[in-house]
Amino acid sequence: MKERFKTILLAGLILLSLYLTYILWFGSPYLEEGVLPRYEFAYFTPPPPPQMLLMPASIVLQREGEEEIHLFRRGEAEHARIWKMGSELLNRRLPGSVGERPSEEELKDLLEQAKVELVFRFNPVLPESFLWDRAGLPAEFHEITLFFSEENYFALLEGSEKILYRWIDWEESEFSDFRALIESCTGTITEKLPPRFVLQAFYPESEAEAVISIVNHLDDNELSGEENDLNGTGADEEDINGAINGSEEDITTAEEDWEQENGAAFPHGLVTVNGEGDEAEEILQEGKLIHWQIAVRGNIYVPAGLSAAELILIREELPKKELISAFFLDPAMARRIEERDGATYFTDGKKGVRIYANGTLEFSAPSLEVFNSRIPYSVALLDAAENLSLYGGWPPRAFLARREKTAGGYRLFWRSYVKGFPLIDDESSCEMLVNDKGMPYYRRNFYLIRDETDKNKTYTHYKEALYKAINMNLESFPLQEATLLALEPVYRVIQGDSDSEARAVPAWAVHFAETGRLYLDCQTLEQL
Amino acid sequence: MDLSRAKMVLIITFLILNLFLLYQIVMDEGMYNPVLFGPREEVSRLEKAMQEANLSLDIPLPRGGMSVAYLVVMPWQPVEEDVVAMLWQGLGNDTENGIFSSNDLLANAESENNISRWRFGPYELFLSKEGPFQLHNAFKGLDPEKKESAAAEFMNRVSFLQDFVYDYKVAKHGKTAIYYHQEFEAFPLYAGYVEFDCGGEHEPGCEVYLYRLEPLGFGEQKREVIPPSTALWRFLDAYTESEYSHDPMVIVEFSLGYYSEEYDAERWEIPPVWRIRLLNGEIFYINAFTGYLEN
Repeated sequence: MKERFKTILLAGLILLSLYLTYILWFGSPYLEEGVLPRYEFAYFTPPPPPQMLLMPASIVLQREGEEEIHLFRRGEAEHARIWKMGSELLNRRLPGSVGERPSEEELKDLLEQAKVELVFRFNPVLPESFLWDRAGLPAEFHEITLFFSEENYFALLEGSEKILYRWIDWEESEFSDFRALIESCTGTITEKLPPRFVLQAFYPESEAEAVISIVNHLDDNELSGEENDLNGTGADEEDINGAINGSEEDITTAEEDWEQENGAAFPHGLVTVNGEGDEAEEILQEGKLIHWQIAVRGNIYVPAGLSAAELILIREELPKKELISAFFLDPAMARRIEERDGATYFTDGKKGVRIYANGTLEFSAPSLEVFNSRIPYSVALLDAAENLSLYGGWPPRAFLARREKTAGGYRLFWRSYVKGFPLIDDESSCEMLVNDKGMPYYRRNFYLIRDETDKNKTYTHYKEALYKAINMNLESFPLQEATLLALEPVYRVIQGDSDSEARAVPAWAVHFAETGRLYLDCQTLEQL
Repeated sequence: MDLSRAKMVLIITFLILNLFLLYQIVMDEGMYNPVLFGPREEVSRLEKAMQEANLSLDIPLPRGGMSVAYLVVMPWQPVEEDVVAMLWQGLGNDTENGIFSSNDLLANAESENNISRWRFGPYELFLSKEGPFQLHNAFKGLDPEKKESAAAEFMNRVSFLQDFVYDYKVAKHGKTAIYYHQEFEAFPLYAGYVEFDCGGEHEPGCEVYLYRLEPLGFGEQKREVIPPSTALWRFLDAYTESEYSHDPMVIVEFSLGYYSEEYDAERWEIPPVWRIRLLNGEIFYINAFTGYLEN
């Protein structure tokens, strides 16, 4: 019995010594040594590939022998298709190719010989690394032109400098699909505004409506008198236009006459008449004629013959639980604050997510702010794409519309586009600040289309919109000179009765440097 | 040697070995340090960091390992007249023949920017919808040494302050600040407080700041709080990076409670915090779930 007890005691002591040795050897875990979190990114939608992340603001196509210029805009199926094939072509051909820096004359000659000219216009600019990785300084391009002559294919990349790539050894099979596409596709017929032009308004005494016309103006000191478009509303508009759109000499003479009579230089913007003799007298008696000289900044392509239906919009509603899980690795760490205005705020003390009553999402993490961000543009874009996909997903109609380089990082703005028309709200649909440390700020407020109304609205001609925009702000144009920064058809979002509903009205967006951006109903030209 | 003796020798050997191992383990767990506990290396690291920050700890760290949930609260929105009546009574005045028998009270109420201003007797009261209430001229004329007991009496008399307990007192620049904090189910709710700012001999009265919350209960999901030593590390990080004077200082309190800033909200969740109070009255709240500094 005693021996049996000794045996059991010895066995117990041996086991205890093994256990104590284990404890001493491995010790208790350090307090600072946490358990590595096991998590995986749960994307709302997968991030798009780099070339689809930043798509051209517009694509302009011109074919030899055709007068029409075709415009493809964001949100149109053809736009995405052409860019996809075009970017794939560039991705294949640019690596290993050697670029040239052509003279302007050489470039002009080559473009004149081109059978097809396809221009990808970027706003924001496209980082070079999205096309191909190349050692050297990072470049950004605002325009890429692909053009073909009988023998060669060319790509002209325009950024801070122009680089021309020429492919002589091309294989027809490599380009055939793309060539077939751009030789057959049809976009919105568009008009390119001249660098300077004169907008004229003739006010007949007997008519309430002014008759608006446009005269191309090629040089500061020279009016060409070439008639561009003379749509009007009066029955006798042709006569009136015939009278008021005189030749270059007519206008110059009128100005000279005025100067002789008054003994001073002709002040632009005064009432003037482009007629001669009795004809001019007659116009002056019948009414008055005013003209504004308009300088166009950059290339503005204005689509013609547009129509669009009003849209009923609803705010995007994201699943709250999944969203909070995306922002906080452990959602239990986020405490909930129900604010008086109906918003719900989640915070862990370092970062916070506010979901407003109308569904707008706002995230901020002040601890991630920096004062001197060095993040490269291409990296910021890729990070932003990943963030957008993680925190709510990439809506199908969302496109990057603007970027701002600030000391704190890149501020990126997205908008939704419907069949080529951007949805313009008072704020952008989505805004994100990205820097070296992460994402200090993010706001998201996308609209979704609930319904399309039956009523199709036809766009009034753009010259009427220009005239209206000027006439509404006459005090902004004391010299009757204006600088046009942008002119485009858009959908203007008008808030509905309920906070979550809105309607999108087809409108002209007219942006003069002197007035800022104005939105005019596409038909009535009422300000929206 | 027979088997029995061999067994005896082995038993004695393993007994000695086990005692030695136990001693080593106990030493490693820091039993030699009455304040800090944990693996020896970590304790020495923590001690070194505290020395570098010119800090010392003269209280034992509480044991962690607790599981708690968020505390859900809403703002306390009492009827203003009731508050005035209770404060009037709490300040030792007679309600029968006092201010409420006259019609002056309502005429003395003014409201601007969400703050109501009441004047009753020698007192002035500011009732804010968002921040703390402020009462001026309390205990006017009392000797400075009697003001503390007057404050305690006031806390006992005012019915809506029954869930407040004495917290601490700080004397600085000839002034004394006495603090009480709210409690809920035996947990300190540091976010609710009463502060008596009493001046020295030349100050006639005390300023009283009062912020009360309406606790609705604990959240459903319980989580384990971070160990106090982890909270101490986080505090040291914040303290050394802060602009506070780094003169020698003593940590006089290390406790678990609930704290959040004052929100203008309908209702909100308050996290558990480790409160670290220094001798000079500075307080640091370390979120006991995340380890982030809360104030």
